[in-house]
Amino acid sequence: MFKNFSLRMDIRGVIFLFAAISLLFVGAAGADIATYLHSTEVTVFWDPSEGFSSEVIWQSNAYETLLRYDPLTDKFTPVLAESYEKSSDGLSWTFHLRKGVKFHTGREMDAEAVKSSIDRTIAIGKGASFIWKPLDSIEVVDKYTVVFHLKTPGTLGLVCSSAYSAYIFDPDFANRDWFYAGHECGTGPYMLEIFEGDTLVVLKRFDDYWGGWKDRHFDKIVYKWVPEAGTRRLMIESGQADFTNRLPIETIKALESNPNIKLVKTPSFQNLIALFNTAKSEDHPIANPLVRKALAYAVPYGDVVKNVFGSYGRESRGVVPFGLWGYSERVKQYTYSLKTARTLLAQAGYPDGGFKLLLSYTAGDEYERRTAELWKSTLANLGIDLEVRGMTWDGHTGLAQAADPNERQDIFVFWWWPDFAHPYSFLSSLFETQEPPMYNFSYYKNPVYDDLINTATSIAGQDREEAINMYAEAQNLIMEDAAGIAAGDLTYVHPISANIEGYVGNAAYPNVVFWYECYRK
Amino acid sequence: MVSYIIRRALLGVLILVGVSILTFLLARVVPSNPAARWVGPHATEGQIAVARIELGLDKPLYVQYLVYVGNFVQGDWGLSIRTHQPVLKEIFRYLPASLELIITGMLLAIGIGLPLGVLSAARSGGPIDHVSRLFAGIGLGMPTFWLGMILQLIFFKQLGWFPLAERIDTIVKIAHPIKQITGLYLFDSLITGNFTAFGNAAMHVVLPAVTLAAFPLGMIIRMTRATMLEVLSEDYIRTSRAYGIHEVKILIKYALRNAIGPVLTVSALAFAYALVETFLIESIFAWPGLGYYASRGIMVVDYPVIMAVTTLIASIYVTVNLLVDFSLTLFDPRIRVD
Repeated sequence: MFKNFSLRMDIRGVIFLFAAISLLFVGAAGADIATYLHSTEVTVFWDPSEGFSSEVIWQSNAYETLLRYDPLTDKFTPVLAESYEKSSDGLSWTFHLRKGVKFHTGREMDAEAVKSSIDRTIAIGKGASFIWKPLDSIEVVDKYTVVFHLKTPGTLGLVCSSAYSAYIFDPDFANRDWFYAGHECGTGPYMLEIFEGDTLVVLKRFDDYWGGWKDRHFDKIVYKWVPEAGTRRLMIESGQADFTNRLPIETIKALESNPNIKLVKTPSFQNLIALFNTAKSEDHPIANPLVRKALAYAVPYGDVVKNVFGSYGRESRGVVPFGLWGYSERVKQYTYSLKTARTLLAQAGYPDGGFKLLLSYTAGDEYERRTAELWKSTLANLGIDLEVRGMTWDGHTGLAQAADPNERQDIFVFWWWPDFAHPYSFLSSLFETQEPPMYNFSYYKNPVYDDLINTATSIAGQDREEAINMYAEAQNLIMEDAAGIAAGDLTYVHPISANIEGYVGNAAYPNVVFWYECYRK
Repeated sequence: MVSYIIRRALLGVLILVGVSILTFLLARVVPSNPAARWVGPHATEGQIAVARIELGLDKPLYVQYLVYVGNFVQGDWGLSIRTHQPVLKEIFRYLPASLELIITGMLLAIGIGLPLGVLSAARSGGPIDHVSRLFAGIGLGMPTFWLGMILQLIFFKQLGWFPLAERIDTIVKIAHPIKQITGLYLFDSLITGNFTAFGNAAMHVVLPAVTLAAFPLGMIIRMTRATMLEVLSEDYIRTSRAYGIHEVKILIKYALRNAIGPVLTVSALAFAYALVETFLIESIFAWPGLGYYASRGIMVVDYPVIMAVTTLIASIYVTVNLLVDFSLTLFDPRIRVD
């Protein structure tokens, strides 16, 4: 009997059975579902007043703002506000709200709800709520009219259309614990159906959406966190997913020839910044502006865009990225020239280099690392030894905020993008006097500069041309003092299923797909 | 016996206190800025200052630790810095996924390992023995992360038999939602008669469970074989054979029962070890379990999560060790404990 005893498992049979059963039922589901794979958490902040992270990818389909901004045409599209006008002094903006808009909770969206939403976001003070700084008060005129009174003539249209801190939600339900238990109360075309922690969100159609529904819209949208880039690639190649972001440049290149996938390119507002430490004591080479200029001339800008960005990007001019208003051809830009760099070093008293510098970047970011390595090799030609140190983000900023400026890094490399479509974010966060430093890791201090950017910002709502001129002048100060440079402006590349139509990338809403506008052929 | 149990339990508590202090210190010594992460990227200085007070980070470190422990024993495990959700609630969400994977993996390992080990010993030197020893060698020798990826390449990419990752297809989850009872998909879907979800979840668990089972499988085969060989050479087995008792009865009833002690110990420890091993496996298979949750936390120094998961795993380790020691005395009265 024992001899006949054998462990026979017909594994293939079992597998076939399971596969057959699952296929049978899955096929019956039938609804048209779009799947978005995200490289990080799908939700970090549930409360729309706190939002400041990747939750924007789904929340911008569940919540809406008064206006939406299109940076390509520099125009606003009406969303919850049908129209608006501003007073001649630019201090009061009147919004006429769309009538008959329902929240997912059933309540009608009205002026009171607009005021309560924005007042709440400002009172909580989280997320990008600081963008409301120019706002003085919100006045409810009647059910569908609301007036924003400003302290200074700011660019309120941009604030109202911001991807963060500008959502309108049902104030009756606005409660932090309720949001964090996995709820939303927006007016958007899609509403939350299923969620699982920070890994999954499923949205379904909101039947009462003010825009109405036609056949070709998607029924459901699935947002999934898939950290492994290789897995995301396999899933989009095999048709299990429709959209993803942040694939390594090599993977993007490999997808270029795949007929089932379109690569949608969107010039972004994101650029790779290198800040030079201007606060070190006199005896450090980096304290010498001539040395900093030499460093700026030693960046192989063309190679960075071509080889690091894989040509998905363009060479920067100043620190405001191309495509964002405030970008100006009047700004001086460094170009790659080792000859000029050598001359400058000689003038500074370092004809053969002979010193060491520390560059810190966020470990894991291949763009930053490769740019730094390219730079290291060009600097080696000048006799400068560049130590390239990858650190965790917290370690990286921790070093940059060390109490003694001499202990800090010499060059700080990171990405910057604006919190809303405004150049002030670059010019203030990175170069305005900050004590202690928050993000100004050039430690640049220049009252003339500070005055220029703040004056420009206060008039930008009224006289944008003049503001842009002042921003350009301010950027030329940064370039002249060589406080920092942008190594390249990034172009976003999003792989999307070739059969999906209607997707247009919008740099003001990075990584967001407005699914209501998309459909499958 | 009772005093022994109390002594061991107290020692266990002491170990846990040590682990929690060490983890707390380690998590706080590494450069990190929880307050900044709490508010989000591009936060202003004022926002971070408010967050520091909100999170209690303005207090001295020992006060923070005491507050933490005080809340911890009352069931308040703090809020995750990364997700802003209560850690305990999140652990309850992620733990069942890990348990499902580990239980399936261990069932596989024991279900295959034990018979193979017995056969291997019974037919020592024969072809079955060689094959099973090769199996054990492979299971023990192959790095988990590598094995997982190789299985994905073969069974997903080449053959297309099994899904690549995750616990269940999202589309199945939407069309056939599983009623939450224990959080174990296989169990919940089976007892609620949701066979579509069960079939789909079963397909998903195969590759990660096989990956997880490889190491304990190797250990169990080897341990069973070794102890069985030892027992089979005992006089009483020869006597049983001389009496003409059926070979299967000898193997299972007389030999295996005496050989099972060390195998049990190894299995239990392998179970506890699997909790750690799942860190890698869950990352590869995007399996939303405890390891997945913890590794996300570690990446951003989310100290409440690191503390909670470390303490939880340490408690499981300590408890399993205790249980193994106690159960051995039950299986084998010869082991004295006093």
